[in-house]
Amino acid sequence: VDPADQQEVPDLELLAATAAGGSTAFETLYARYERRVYNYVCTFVRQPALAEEVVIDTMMAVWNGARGFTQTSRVSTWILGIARHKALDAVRKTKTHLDAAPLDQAAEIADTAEAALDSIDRNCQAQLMLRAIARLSPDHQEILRLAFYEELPYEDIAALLSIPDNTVKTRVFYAKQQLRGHLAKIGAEPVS
Amino acid sequence: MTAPDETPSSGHSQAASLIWYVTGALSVSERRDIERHLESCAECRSELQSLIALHGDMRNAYDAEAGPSARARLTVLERIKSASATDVGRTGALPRGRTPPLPESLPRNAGLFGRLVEWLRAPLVPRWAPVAALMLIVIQAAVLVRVIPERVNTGGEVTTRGLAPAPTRLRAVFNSQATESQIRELLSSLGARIVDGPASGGAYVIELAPGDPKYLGEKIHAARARSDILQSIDVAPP
Repeated sequence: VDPADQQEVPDLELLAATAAGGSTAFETLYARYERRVYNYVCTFVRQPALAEEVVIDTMMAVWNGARGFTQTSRVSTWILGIARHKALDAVRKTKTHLDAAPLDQAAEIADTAEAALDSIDRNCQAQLMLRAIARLSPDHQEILRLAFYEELPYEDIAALLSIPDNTVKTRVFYAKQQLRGHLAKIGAEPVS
Repeated sequence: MTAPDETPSSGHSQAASLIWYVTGALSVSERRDIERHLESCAECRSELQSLIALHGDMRNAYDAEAGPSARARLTVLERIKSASATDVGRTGALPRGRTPPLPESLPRNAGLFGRLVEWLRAPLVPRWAPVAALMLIVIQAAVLVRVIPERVNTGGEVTTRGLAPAPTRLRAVFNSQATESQIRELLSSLGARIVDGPASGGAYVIELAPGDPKYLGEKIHAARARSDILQSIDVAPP
């Protein structure tokens, strides 16, 4: 089966095929999650090389643990949960992590990711958005990614982060407020 | 200042769930609740429009993010290839509730060596196992039908197609005055025949045709009553 033929196959079927030893299905699953896992991991891990190692460890864990997936959550929640665990583990081992900053200091974070974006065309709305997101605290970056991009239900996010449902909602609320503030500061088009 | 995890004092409770309304990640009842609220709340309708725009912009931004280098992909694929080579049992049963696996074939870019390895591995992968198991079951069933006692409706008696029961052997000493015709008559009434003898003491071994064991005692008792023909009759030692 050509991976290109499996683009529309649901995650769950790809994971089931992976559990049965389907390396082609796994390749499709890998291609689907590689970038998402990497950028999610970068929320916690500063070094790109270390983030790549976490991606490798995560996807190997998916390959080895596919048969143990119990369908109590979405496949994406499961994979991101593995990635989160491995990222935090890597952070603990290397001590090179983004400390969770107090929310009132979030705007002051001098993120190295922002420096990497300096050469990018400021007219590009997407890059400005990324610049604004990079100014957020890791907690806020994480929760906005999970809610807005991964589109996980708040219950899944709560389970993933081990926090109550209401905390998920309020954290999203404040992260969104912070993001709008940063967007206004860096001159991106105002989002209401 | 720590993260304010309390519900915002200003705003409606439904406003806190609007992003999941936008992404379609709410239950039906939650969705209906928000829609009812939106009908009467201009502030939340405005916030909804804002969130839809923000959601689109953020998705575009996240989509523009770079991924890891090709090294990560190559490393993972190399590792699973070597893991697969030593893990032929991975094709076992799926966990409960799992969807069946997709059909898998050789990668188109596997290369000649890779295809050769896959071909050599094929006999080790038990794809034929279900068929073999089914055939074994059929053969076992056929053997059991042949061997296991079959119930036949013959007036309540059970007969078997298995091994015949061993005949009963008796040790008999005939009376010296008994005539040959008397002996034949007795043997005929018992359904017996002489199979050995005479041994020391003039004993013969007679063999009774197979029958219900419960009648054996009666036959021996009846034979002993014929003292004019028999001196003694007992079950022969095996």
